[in-house]
Amino acid sequence: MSVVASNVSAPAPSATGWMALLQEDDLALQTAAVSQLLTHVNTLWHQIAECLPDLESMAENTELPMELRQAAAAVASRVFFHLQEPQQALRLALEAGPQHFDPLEQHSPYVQRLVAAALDSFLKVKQDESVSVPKDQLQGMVYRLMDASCQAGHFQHALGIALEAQEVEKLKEILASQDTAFLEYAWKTCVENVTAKSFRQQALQVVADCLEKKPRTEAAYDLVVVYQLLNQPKAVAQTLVELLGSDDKLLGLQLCFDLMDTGDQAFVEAVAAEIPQEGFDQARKILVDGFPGEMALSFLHKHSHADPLIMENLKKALEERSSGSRSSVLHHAAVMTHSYLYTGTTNDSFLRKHLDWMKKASNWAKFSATASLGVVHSGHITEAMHLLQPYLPEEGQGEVSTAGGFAEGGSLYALGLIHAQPGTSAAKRHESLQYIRGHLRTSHANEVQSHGAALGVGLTAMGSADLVICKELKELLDTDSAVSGEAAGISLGLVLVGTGAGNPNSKLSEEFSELVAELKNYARETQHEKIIRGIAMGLALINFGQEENADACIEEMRSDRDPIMRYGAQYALAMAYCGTGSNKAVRILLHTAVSDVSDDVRMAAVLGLSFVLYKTPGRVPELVKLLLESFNPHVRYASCMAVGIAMAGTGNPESIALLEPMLDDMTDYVRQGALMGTAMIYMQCSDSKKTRAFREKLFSIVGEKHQSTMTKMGAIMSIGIIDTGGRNCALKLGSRLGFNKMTSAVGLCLWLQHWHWFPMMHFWSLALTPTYTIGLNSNFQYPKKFSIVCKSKPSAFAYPKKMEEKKEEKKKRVETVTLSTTAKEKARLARKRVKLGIYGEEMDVDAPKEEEIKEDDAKEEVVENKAEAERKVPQPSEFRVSNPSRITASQSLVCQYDLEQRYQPVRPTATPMGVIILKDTSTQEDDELETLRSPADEPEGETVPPETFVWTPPQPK
Amino acid sequence: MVEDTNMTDAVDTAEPVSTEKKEEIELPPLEAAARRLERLLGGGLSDKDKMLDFYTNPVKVVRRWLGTSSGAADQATAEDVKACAAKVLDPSGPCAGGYKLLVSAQQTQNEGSFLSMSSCREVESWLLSLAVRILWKQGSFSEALDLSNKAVDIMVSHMEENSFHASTAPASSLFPLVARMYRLRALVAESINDANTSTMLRQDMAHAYNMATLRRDVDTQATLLNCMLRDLLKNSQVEQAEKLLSNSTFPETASNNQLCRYLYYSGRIQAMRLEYTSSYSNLSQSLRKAPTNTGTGFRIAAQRLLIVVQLLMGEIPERHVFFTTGMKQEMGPYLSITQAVRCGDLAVFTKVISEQSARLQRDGTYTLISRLAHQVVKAGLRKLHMSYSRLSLQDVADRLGLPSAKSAEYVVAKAVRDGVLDATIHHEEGYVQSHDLVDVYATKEPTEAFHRRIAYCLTTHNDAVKGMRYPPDAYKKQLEASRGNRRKRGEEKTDEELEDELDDEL
Repeated sequence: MSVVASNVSAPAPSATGWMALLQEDDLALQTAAVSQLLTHVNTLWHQIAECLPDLESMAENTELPMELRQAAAAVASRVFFHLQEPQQALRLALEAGPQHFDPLEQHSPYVQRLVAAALDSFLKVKQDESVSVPKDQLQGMVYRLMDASCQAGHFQHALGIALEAQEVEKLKEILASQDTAFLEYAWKTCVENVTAKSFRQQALQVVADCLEKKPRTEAAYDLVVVYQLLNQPKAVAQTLVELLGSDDKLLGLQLCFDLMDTGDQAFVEAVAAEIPQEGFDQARKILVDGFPGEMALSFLHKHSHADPLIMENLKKALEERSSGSRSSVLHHAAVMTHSYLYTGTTNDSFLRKHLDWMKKASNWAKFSATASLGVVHSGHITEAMHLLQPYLPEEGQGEVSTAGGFAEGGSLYALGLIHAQPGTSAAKRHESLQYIRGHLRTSHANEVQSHGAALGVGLTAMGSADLVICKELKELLDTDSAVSGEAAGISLGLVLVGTGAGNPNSKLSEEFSELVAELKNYARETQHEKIIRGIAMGLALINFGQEENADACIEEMRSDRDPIMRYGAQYALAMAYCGTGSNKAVRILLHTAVSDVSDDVRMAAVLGLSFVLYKTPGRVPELVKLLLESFNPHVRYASCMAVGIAMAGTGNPESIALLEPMLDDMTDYVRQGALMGTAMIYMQCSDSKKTRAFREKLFSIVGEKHQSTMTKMGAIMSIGIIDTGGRNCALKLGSRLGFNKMTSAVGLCLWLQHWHWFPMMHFWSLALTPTYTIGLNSNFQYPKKFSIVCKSKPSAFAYPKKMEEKKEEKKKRVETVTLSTTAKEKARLARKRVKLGIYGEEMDVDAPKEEEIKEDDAKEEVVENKAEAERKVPQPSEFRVSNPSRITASQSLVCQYDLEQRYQPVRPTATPMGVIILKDTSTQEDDELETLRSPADEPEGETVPPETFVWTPPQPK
Repeated sequence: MVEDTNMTDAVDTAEPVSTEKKEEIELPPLEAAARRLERLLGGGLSDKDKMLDFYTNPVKVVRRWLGTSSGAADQATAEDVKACAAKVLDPSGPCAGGYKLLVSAQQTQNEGSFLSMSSCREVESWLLSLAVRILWKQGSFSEALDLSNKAVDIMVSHMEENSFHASTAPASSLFPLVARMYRLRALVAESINDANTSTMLRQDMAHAYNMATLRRDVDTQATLLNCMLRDLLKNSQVEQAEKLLSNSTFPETASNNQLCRYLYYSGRIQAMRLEYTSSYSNLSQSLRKAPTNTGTGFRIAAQRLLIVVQLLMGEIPERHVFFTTGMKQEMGPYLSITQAVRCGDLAVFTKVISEQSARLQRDGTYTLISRLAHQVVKAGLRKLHMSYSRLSLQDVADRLGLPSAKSAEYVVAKAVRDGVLDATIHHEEGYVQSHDLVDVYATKEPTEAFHRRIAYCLTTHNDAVKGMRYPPDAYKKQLEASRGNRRKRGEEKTDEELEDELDDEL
């Protein structure tokens, strides 16, 4: 050793000497040793670690002077810090006192680490977990941290700590002196980051109290949103009334429209009830008189880009002998596809044209076909009764016959579907409700009719929580008929949707709790699986948005021995935690997805993920990726659908790539799921090579001989899904302001039940959201002069091209006999033409399409002849979207308001989507205004050119 | 010290650099490497095999890149580095500091060819480390130290600007490069061998180690731990080194080369502290993990320490270890020592040691070897014991070259106590009586031996399993195959279904 030591450069310092001094009795020596150790602890911690017990006992020795004890604690704390034990380090640092450990000194890693540890343990203390640090000290420190952050102006920091630690008092202190912008940040943070609903409500209440003190115009928007989050219709109404009465009337109107956007009818009606009858006509028009519904309907009708050829081709393909023309399942699917294609457009000309084809539907298919009218006309309340008159049950007939009644039941269901559309007139809805209720009471004998009536009642009374209606539905349930019982169960859920009836914290009266308890009992006693399923789904709907309040109910259902109850539990979880992204819910769902013994339950669990995570859609494909490879086909099916729902309308290439192999899965219904999932992803996407190929594939599957019925059904429905609602509707679970869209979530949840019961397919119309963007002036007219700037190529968000009528020509050609020589001659000529670069008209048509093909296709494009490229007109990099038009969710990201124009939005910061109330900056008369017209006033289909006439110039007098 | 031959670079030259496209061969190798990194880090998503990049994190990308570009780095001269820096670093961008250090100001640059934000910091750090290494190899230590200090400052500031809080992850792609720079600086400082520098550096390293641990920067953490151990060992602070060793954890995911070094240092420390068994296992593991065709210096150092430890444990190393290619020369003295120990001839042993003492001191094994004298005596004793069942102590003393019968008695007594001999000393008569040979197979000895071997095999197996890597999604092909031919089944099904459909007529 001594030899090696000879070339030592610098003696490495050692703490051994000082450590030995610690053992001395002399106080002065000890003090000196500790102070020396403190200066060198950062380099010699590994040595000092040996005497940690000594240091700790010194720190606790009450006989020693305070300073020495604190210094010893400081040394020990730092050693623990280096040993990666922050909790111990924190405990000692708190003992060491402020001169050795100042939590506000932000630049030292030691302090930063310990502060993080302190917050962690404080949160644990809050959750009643035991930690090694005394609570009061910890609390003192965290409070000091928050105060210091506030003083330094880091309010976000302080807010974050307060929210994490669930400190309402501190929150009040922090928010008391803040401006509106910060309060907005505060409520957004609450919504996004606070997982416990009860505390979130408290925190939001604090924010609302602070906002109340601000000038009304400045804070009104946030105030309304926060009160809505708190579910306080009275306060919302008050704010709106104040706003509408002031100069900021326009903002008030905008807020009314935003309120409608959430689709919570019951809440909107409660707000409207608080707004005085007189003087607020416009607001009432929006909230209860169905103006938004009329507007949506008019848009969907007028701007429908539904391609009539799709349906024609589909019909033709199905009529061919080989493709299973005689399968009622496929026929039914085609009828549904028709209704999907034309959802809300009120365009039923195809049906009228092919009444014979429609009439092929018998029994339940007839029910469904009749109800599909309700999907096509959803929201068309003015004409509803008139349209359905031929099918509705006759009045005053007395006893209902026990057989038949399919058209009658279907029409009652259709009536419900038409009125369930959010934004429709409340009065009309109540009128229909009374009408359907009348039939509900009298139709007990006929289960088909009572099935339709029950669903109709559920749809029209959605969310009303009316005890009398519930009693009536319960009566139907008590008849113990499987078919009508299922509908009654679901409808009870619809009537009580989102109320949390039967939960411990429910605001509803005791009678509702009894009702829910009875339902649960009934589900246990009945022999009919359908009834159990109906009740289970009903319970799921009741718990919509209840979060932890629903935990008890969900737990009870989850632990049930009946798989159908457990199935309902998964949906209840999905509904209760819809959009929260709650880790707890995701964990339970994933666990069930791989562990339950029943296939249906596993399927429901996977589907539930897409509801819980709809706000962070990218997470769904990530989570589900492995489940897509599951050996259980039900899980694979559900995974496909979950990816589709989450990524609907995005055209996301990764998700498409995930689903692509599933299109060739060995199980037919997995292929069905993959087709529908892909179709959902491609909804509202502009034309590209991939979408075109997919559309072609859908048609080819329908015509293929060897595909199974299930896959064909999936393909047929996908044809409807991809172009749904005249290509103007999207599948969105959230509103523009980030609320859950209740109608969409409910609609989607029930639509997914078509796995068990085909008539549930109609709920698709409820799940859809029209993607219109309409600028309105204060008189609810559309100024044509208003437009929105879209910073992208026009083709990126264009409607897909309509199909061309080619097939007929081909058929004709087949009939003419061609000699082989002429065929050769033709081919030769064709080749020659290609050589010369003459392509004819077709190529020109294709040219703009090729532009938007994405990067992966770019190379091929380059390879394509360059002469072609010269002829292409380069697309502009931005264009203007006229008023009104379709702006899809992904398009809205690249859209901006042009604030130079005459009409300006009241809230320029909002995303340009949905209804936009405009401020007119000029006092001049504007002649380019349009008013709302109902579809009945519009000409059917495309405008017919006027007949030829001879123009005679007016005779001069 | 020889053991610090640059393993990383040497190893990685073996890897193919031929992945390059043809057009880039025209570029100077350094610049080509820099451009490649830019593609890997920034343009990763537009790359063809984007899924691959999707799954790997930047640290891994940079580590792999460092491997593939070491060929270019090895041959680079100071001029090359300067030219490359002038070409790729933007003097007005975030790398202004590095540019200033590497390029003299009057040089003109053509704009547009600078690297993008995604990779310029990494390339800057890389070029700086190359410059330091070139200076170090030239022997201009003080300049090298100066440059490396500045480079470390630049890198640390890069890392800090990316993270508001120490514990949040900063630009993690810098980690391997920072680690490399710290190591170079430690080596340079060692070459300077100056008291002030060392003290300053020691504090700086302790701080940097702490920060690396908080940042979860595995590369820097491992490298600095090794540097600190090396520094302490060099200063003969074995006790301190042991404390550092026991109070810190070596990151599991650190690179293999750092792990080899760490194992070597821990083996050395433990050998000094008489913990021969653990030292032996660490050293042999280190040798096993060390690269097989390069890093000879390191392997020699580890091997000779291993031989000494083995001897101290009373085992005789296999003969072939002395004749491994490239080591024969270095192993010469150790071979003679081993022979002396094997024969148990103290005289030969002392002779060899006195002849080779300078050499052994240089190797740092002298202290350990001086402990061996005891082993020599023991070995001799064992031999005698095997030959004679009864032997007078005086004879023992004569045979082993011990000064007197009295000392022979002590030695024998110790050997008996240690279990080397199974004998009784008759003090009055002055002789040693061996006991009859016991059947070893009746004792626990074979079981223990088996256990040792099995444990060894299991660890090796587990290490091998852990070391295996599978390409992502490779299992999917199998999955497809197992699901395949669904067409066939589909056809079988449809016939039945058609019948069903016929029944299901409208």
